[in-house]
Amino acid sequence: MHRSKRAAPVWKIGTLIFAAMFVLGACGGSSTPAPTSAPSTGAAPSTAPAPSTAAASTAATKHVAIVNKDMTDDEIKAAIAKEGAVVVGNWTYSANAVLIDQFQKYVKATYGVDIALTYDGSQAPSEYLTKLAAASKGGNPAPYDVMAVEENYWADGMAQGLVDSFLPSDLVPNQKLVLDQLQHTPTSIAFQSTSFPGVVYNKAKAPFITKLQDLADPRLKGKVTLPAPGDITAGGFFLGLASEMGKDYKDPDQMKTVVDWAITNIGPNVAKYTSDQPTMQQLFESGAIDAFSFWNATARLEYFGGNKDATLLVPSTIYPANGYLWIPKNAPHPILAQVFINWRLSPEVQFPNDWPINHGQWSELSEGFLGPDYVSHVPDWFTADYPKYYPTLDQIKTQFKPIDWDAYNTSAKVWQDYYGSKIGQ
Amino acid sequence: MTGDTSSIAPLRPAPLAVRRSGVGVGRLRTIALLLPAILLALLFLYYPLVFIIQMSFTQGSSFLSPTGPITTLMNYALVVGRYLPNLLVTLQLALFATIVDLVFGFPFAYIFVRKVRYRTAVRALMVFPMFGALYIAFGMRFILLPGGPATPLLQALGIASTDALFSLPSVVFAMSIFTFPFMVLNIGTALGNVDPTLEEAAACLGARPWQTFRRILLPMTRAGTVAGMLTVFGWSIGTFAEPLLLGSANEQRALAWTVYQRGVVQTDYGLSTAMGVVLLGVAFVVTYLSLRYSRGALVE
Amino acid sequence: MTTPTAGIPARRPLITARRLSDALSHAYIWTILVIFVLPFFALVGFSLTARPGESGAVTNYGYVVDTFGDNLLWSLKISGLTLLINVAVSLPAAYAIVRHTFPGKRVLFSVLTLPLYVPGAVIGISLVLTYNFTYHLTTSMWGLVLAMSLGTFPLMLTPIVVALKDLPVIFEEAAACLGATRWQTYRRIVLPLIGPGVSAGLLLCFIIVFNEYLVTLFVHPPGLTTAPLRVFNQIRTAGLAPTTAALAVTMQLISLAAVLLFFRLFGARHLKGTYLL
Repeated sequence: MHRSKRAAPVWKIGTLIFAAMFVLGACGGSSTPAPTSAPSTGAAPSTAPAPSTAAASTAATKHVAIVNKDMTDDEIKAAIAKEGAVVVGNWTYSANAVLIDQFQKYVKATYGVDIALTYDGSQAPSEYLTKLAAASKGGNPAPYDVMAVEENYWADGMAQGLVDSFLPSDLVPNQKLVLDQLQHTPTSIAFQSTSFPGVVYNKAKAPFITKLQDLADPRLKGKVTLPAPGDITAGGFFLGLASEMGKDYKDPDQMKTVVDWAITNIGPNVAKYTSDQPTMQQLFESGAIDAFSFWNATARLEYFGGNKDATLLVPSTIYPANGYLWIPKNAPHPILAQVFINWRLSPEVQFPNDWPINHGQWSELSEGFLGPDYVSHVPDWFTADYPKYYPTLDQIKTQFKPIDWDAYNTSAKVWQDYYGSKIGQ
Repeated sequence: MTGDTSSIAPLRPAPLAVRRSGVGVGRLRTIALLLPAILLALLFLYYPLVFIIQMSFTQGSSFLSPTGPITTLMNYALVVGRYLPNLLVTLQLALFATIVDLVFGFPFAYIFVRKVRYRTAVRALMVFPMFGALYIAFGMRFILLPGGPATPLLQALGIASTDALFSLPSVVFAMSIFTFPFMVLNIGTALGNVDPTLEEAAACLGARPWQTFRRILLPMTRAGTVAGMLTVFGWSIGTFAEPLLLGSANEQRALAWTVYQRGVVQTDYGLSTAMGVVLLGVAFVVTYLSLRYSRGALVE
Repeated sequence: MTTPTAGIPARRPLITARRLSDALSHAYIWTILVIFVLPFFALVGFSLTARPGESGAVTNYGYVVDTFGDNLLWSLKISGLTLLINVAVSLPAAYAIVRHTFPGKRVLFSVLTLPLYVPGAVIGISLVLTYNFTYHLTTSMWGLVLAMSLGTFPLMLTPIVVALKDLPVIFEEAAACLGATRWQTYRRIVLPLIGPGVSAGLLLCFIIVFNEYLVTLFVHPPGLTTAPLRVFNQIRTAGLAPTTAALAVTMQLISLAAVLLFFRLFGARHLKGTYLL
């Protein structure tokens, strides 16, 4: 016979060891040893048991939103210790580890408590909304404590009744530093001021691009990418194009004509319809394309990546879709959520000059002036080039137009679908 | 030899290895063996599928909205109407990937099983693409874009880099190398049960290699071949990374990507779940028919 | 007197048909393998480049090492548990499908293998709903493990069915005739002989689960980020930078290491036979 008569026991022993390892690991798995994993089981938190009004005479109290209590510092510390963790839904930075580390150090220094920050990154923020909505309908606590995603998702969240009110709160004093136009009291506050979709182009190869409509130039045949239909990336591009063409983004029929124009005139130049940043970057850096439409932050990334010809085309009207911080209803750790929000808004975090990160990562984390108090924090190594990639405070105040999100959402459903159907999606 | 039979173990009626079902214990045993698998599928696919089907009859994101779901049949109308080309592209891509895998995978499996001694190295390298379609795409872009090693060849042939990169062959290539191990390991398992002396006998009797292949190997590895093809096909209709990253506008229509786009990015749960249901239906029909018409190769 | 060996060449020629076909066979294998690995090396090259203003290749990998360890441990844990469940589920089911007779086998097999074909997004959405509405599994690791198991157990089931199918029943009947119980037959005859099928299933399932991120995106409990999910998110945010390439390279190397370790444990004497996989 060809096979051995007795099965060698090695693989059996191997299986047993493997299995034992994992079962043991699994048993210990529900309470994770790693500091960056949240041990919470999602039970609704209880805050400081005794109302502090009686003790108010000796210690100053802070009014803490969401739990709606006046608490002394000691009570706040106790509550934070009890919460022990906070989960933030945001996109992932390459310096995630540093961010988490810095926040945990901050909490330790300020409140003397060790906590765990979990950064749950996703590039499809609507997936957060799905999870939040499902949790809400299922009667479970929210899977996230802080949402830090684009403004339009906040608007969606509002429409679905998922957003909690927390401003003003004594735990978020940095709210005062932020311009009014960058807040939606009582529900959310921006941590970005400069995020808008634009076009990044190679100044050496295509110096003739001065406005969005120039993407239709026949010299750019096969050298352009446009965003894929569906989300705010494509939405932002078409908003910019519409304003150049004098069309109203709230009117779906007008937007359809804008889409038609783009497909007819820019279409032949498009190498690929994509919203995938690495794809665009690879195409751009290799010279296969000369211009792509995406968020303005990419221009900075390219610049720090060594591509000095990468230039940002700023649309004539800037419709920003900035990242906003908000707290979902039934968040398991509302106090730490507010602490995080306050920390994220502080100038030292918006301009993380002292963090152990490189310039590229700095430019990922720093998203513009939220108010006058931030202006002085621009680091020395960037003072000269900063205005090329970030707008000034005046520009933010005057050039940035707010988007009527409800009207946008209603209208976009129609013309985004139309855009999709035109390219076969 | 004494007449003492006490040292001989009493013979029990020999239990048959092949059960005839129909009565009591046999049936029960069958059910018991199948129960874990059925439970897993039931609890984690088919019961959740109920939600999916419910969602597919609602409009947009209304299923999870506070105002409650709005019922509609529009989603299915759209799937068979506007998105029919998407379905066809999906099937086309999957079919091509399956054929490529079969044509290249069978010889690979044969050589692997019969001739190769350094099996570990081959197995380890063969599964590399399975580590991530994303990485395949990255790598292919490096190779095919200007500045990459393939540029001189492409220029000589007069093909633009992006045309070569975002094309049907590109997508099919990436899909095939991802699912290659599915085919090879299934065929290899079947080949492992084929006695090599049979091939030698055939050769001795004067059969040429092609005849040996057609009349000995192919019939004897039917189970593995059918299994491999089914797995590759089924997996390929559900994959979206390759069509997304390497496809032109035509390949980007692959239904799995549209499902992701609509369901995850645009939260149009109604439409995306309707597409999911249709895809499932197609997968089920293809699987069943393959089993049926392969004349008992895999499952009787 | 003619020698009996007249007509047989004294030395075999260097190039025989057999040698040529062997060489071609190995060349075929290696060409395909090189094509498979090429994208990886492209990534490695890129990850070793230094961006201006940074100290070079080593720091790219330095960023990776930091907190990746946690994600990795989770990935391994989840994969291991999933494999155990898959084996436990597939072995009995495969046996029933191949050896037992009952009506509706083809339908059952189609039904059981369907989870593999469902697009990840659909599984993700369906499980988010189910976990929230009915099972309340949103914060447990088991929610993720069972989701992974569901999606991949057909990959385990199919090769085992293939292996069992071609296993002559005669072995089991002989064992039965010799007085072995059903369980003894299974443990000592069937199980070792379907080794190739089991190992194929284990390998495929492991790789898929270890590198899975789409369903994970939906059903992972907060705080449990597996390595591929982390890589996927980071690549999407930070775009194409040597640091993300370093992350991708590391992930692939670790997958490779896990696969090799896997072979070490299961590929010992027992499976290194003449034509066992």
